[in-house]
Amino acid sequence: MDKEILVALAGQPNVGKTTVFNLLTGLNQHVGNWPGKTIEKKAGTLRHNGTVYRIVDLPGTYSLTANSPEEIIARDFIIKERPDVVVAIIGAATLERNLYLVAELLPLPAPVVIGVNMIDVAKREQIHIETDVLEAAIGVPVVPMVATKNQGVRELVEAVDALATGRRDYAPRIPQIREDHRDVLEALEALIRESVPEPYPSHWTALKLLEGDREMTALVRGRLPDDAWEQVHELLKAHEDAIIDIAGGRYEWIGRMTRAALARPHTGPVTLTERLDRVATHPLWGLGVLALALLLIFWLTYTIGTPLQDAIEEHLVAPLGDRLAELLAGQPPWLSGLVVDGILTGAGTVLTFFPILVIFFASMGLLEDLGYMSRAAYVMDRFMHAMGLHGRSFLPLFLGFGCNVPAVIGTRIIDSRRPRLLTILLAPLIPCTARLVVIAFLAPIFFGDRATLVAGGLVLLNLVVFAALGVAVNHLVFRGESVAFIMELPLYHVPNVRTIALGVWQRTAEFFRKAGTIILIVSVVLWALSSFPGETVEESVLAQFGRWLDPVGQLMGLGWRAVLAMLTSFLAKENTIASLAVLYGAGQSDLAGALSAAITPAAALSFLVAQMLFVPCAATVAVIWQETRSWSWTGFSVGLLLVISISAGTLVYQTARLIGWGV
Amino acid sequence: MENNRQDENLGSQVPPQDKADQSVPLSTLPPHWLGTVHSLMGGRELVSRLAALGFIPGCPIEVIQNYGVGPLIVAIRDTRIALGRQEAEKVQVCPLNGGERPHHRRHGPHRWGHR
Repeated sequence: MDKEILVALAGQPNVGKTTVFNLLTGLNQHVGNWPGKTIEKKAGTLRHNGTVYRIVDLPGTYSLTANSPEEIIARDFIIKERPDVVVAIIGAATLERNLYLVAELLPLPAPVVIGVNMIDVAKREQIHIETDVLEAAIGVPVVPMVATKNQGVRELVEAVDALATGRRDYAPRIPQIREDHRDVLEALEALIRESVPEPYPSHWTALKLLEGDREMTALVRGRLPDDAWEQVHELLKAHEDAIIDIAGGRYEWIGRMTRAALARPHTGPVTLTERLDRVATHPLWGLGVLALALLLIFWLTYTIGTPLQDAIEEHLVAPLGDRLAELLAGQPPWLSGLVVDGILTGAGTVLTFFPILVIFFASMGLLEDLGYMSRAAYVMDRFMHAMGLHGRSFLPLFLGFGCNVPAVIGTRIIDSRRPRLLTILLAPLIPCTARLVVIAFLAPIFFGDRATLVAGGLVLLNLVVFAALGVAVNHLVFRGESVAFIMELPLYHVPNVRTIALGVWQRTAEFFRKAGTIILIVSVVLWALSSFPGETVEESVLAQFGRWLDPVGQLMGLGWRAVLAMLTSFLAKENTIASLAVLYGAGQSDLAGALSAAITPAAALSFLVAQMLFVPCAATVAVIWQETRSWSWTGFSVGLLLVISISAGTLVYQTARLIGWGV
Repeated sequence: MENNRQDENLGSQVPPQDKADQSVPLSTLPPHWLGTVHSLMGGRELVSRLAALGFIPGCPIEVIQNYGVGPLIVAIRDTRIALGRQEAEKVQVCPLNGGERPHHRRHGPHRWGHR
């Protein structure tokens, strides 16, 4: 039987860890979530010389103190799952800061191998690192790497293997706490030793208490007798400042470890990053660069994405539908309806997302890998702050004008939970292309010459509601606590095609697997509701539901047909038009006449307002669930938008009635 | 090399009193300003995050961008870090050799370790 080695891949953000992970595992990787968390978990396997390496990619973190869920995941994995080897990837150009994580990894109960990545980038900055000297100093294997050029990976695997099989000694020089806090640490450890739950090491736990780690403090407190806790508490209170001392001690250790191994120029050259940043982070030019990047993404979407979507619909879904209808001609009508109108429509909807998702994910991956994403976040932060959002919220939200689905998935680049949830909540208020199409079609029918004004006003309304909701939720739900804005601006570097392509593949595949299933189910259910019982839509369950909603419709001045049309937009926003055509018994060509005869201008305006603010489409709801992993948050999001939409429609209609306009 | 100096500074836990008096919030400093971190204020979580990134008393720091409103950019330990204004207000810094870089080059900031 093959021997199996469990490897955890750790590293700070921006060290090329993903590239290393992709090189090691190739396509043998599985993307999921850490249990109970919204954080992505990537695991994969590598077979090499008769050994199976199970590799788990830990979240990128700067330290292992419980400041974020990522940090808790990373340390809990090492402590509880006891990997055979922890591979710490560090960047050569930021060696000292990256070694901080290594200083935190070494006291944990798993041997560490260090991969010094991006040696080429460091060379360009005239930074030279003698990895064998570093290896001798720290006492753990150190492997120089250029992952983007596939250099050093074989040596890394060899080092992991040698350590896991005991062919190599492991004698790390573990950083010690500074003299002034050594006694306190010992006293603390003695107090808690009996109460620290398995498998946490008691020395490490004592250190975390001294660092003010909230999670470990709560854990120990729950298990200590009151009098012992009293003593622990006194000690901790007397040494509240220990955190800086402990961190300082780690940096001193780093200084000693790197002193002989690291050679740097006395005056550095003006680097490419400095030159680019003078433009990219400038308050004015920075906005220009961002606008240019966004323009390019939308240009790609509309010149490649949209035609491709149409082609898929025209050359794949439609002919397939005809063919299936032909084949099922002899069967009962419900079967043909189920297959063509239910299943195929749903599958077609899922499929048409493909081009736009690939373009958006590729663009975002490119900007991230290039190092630009942090700059975009920096220039936008001042504008997003008031709404409790993060600078990083801007890009996914803006992409929402194209489609809300990649906007919601794109929020993954936001690294703290609260702004991310808020961004997901607000994303559906950005009017996507599909909704704009509906407005562009309906506004001229109802408002003729003033259509442009009305359409512009509707978009503006959405943005106003967006901002108001952001401010309100930030104050009411999150109590206005601002999330600390501390963000590394990594060096720019040439993007790695492989990393980007794999990212696009994983996100797209996940959408098809998870959200695709939900969309298919919704499609079949909507078909069933609109087809049974009876011959026509008017007699269906859905129509009965629409009639039952009539009182709500009345508030907005709308009949049950208009309400029903809005309900069917749940599968896809552009369904509104087709539904109106069916329900008002007109072809799309003479729909104009039928509609303007049946709906007054006041009701029409209320309809358009409600339509623009209505619950997001099934695909968006599906990805909201996929990303938040929470039915209650998904439900809250849908419910909130439903209330906003109905209230806004009612307000418009009732105001119009009061002033006697267009009734 | 920067480490040598760092270690010396760190040897004395709290900087001398006369230096402490000169410490100012990072957010008040103009671009190209050089100095060392004096102390961190604010909540435990903020301090912990900043300390992990290398904001340790005695560590050299340079202001790269500061327009007086909105976030600013600093360079510390070979890394550029964007900080919200609120966060930068919590970092106290001391000027190094009077603060302003003596031979301020026309194109922007440069690396640490040359003095």
